[in-house]
Amino acid sequence: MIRSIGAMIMLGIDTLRALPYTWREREKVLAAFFEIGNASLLMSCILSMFIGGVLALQSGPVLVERGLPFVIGQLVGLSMCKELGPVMMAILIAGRVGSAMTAELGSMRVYQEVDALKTMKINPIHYLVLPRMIAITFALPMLVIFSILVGWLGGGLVSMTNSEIAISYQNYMNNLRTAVEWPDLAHGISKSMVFAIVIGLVSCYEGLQTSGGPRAIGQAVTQSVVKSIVCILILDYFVTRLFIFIE
Amino acid sequence: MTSNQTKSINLKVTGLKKAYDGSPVLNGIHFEVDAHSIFVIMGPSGSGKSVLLRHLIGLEVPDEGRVLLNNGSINDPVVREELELAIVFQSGGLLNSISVGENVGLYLKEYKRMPAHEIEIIVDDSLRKVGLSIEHDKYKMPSTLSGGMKKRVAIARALAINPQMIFYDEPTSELDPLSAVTVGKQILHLNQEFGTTSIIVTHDRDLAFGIGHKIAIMQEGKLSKPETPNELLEKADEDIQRFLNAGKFEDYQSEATYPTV
Repeated sequence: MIRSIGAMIMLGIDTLRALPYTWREREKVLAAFFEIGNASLLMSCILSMFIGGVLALQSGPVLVERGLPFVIGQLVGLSMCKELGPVMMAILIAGRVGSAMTAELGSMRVYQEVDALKTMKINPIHYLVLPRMIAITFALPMLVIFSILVGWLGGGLVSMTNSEIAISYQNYMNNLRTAVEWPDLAHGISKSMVFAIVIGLVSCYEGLQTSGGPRAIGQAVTQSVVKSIVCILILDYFVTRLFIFIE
Repeated sequence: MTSNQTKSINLKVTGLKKAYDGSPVLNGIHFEVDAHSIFVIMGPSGSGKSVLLRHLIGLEVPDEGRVLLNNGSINDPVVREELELAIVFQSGGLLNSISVGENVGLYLKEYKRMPAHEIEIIVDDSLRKVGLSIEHDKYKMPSTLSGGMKKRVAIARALAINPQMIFYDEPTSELDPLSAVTVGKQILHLNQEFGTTSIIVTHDRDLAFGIGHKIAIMQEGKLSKPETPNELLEKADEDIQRFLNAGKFEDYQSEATYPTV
């Protein structure tokens, strides 16, 4: 466990050292970036729409009953922005993209493709890890912004159409705007960047550590997803504490 | 390619030891390989041949001993940077996400950073040398190739590196006899035409005796004294003779058992 964490930190340091080669690897970065976007955009849209909707559905009737309908927009707005958008998207990406990264790198390791790169003096960190790390570090925050907006929309639609809530979309959005400020958005985006780095590191590390046969690839993928989700949830607490402290 | 005729390198291994989880796999290996020669390491499955090969090319660090290429340690990054080595893996080791042509030109693009048009020329030349078609094979994906084709692409990729030494890991395994002979002839041709030092790890007796200048037998983590094919046939001890002579038609009919060497 401690050895794994140490090795992941070392992988992170090696990737940081490789940053000057980003421009050289730009084609791979872009390819990985669009792959992540393509793989996750529709799923994140559906997920966020329903998360926003459920938030409004659960809280709306209670708040309306207590004479606080204006809080619905604030609640959905802040929850999506600071917590649900970043965390849910990170979990989605860990399962959808992180697992694919681990499987791809794991299979490259098992079938000696990584060894082939090393013998050709091509650094696997530059060729394989760096593009994926950069792509996920920028793709996840963008997905989170998209997810927040769609989540707000979902909450608004439910607030407007549900007979027990029945507040206008305009009112919902006006209330949301009074609560959500730029620092809140920055909070969510910063969180998602931390999660993206963790998902990228865990996925690449697990993939590059794979040894054995096809069965080992499956095990590595499971390990990668489980570790990523555990890390996301633990880090979420500490990053939130940090932001509360800063604010 | 021709420039390497004078750059071909020799290899010296001294006291190489490696154990995994306490089980010794390499047990004090010593041997030398002359420049321009074809050196064959034979041995039964599981005798440690591939592990030895991984040490020779620097993919593994030994517990004890040294692998010296032109007197420089393979594990020294400076030495490794100066040498042009290539390996043909048992599975080919081709990157499945890129085409045959891109695989062959990978080193030139990613390490040498050569312009695309120069890479194209070398890739086409390398593919032609191993008998692959530019029109039909260059743009195929590795997953669509047969085992023999994958090996030939792997050899083409090694050639594109313009190596001073090529390592082959079981180059004829999983191949039908005709494809095995084709691959064997290509290895011989490359050695004769370009003088590249070749080290072959195999359990293919016909390949070893057909093209090897010197052959050493690996058994229980140790390597026998390298001999020429004729010397080996004349002097080998009983265990090695049994290994070398097993597999004839009549062996399948006989009641005798053949313990591994």
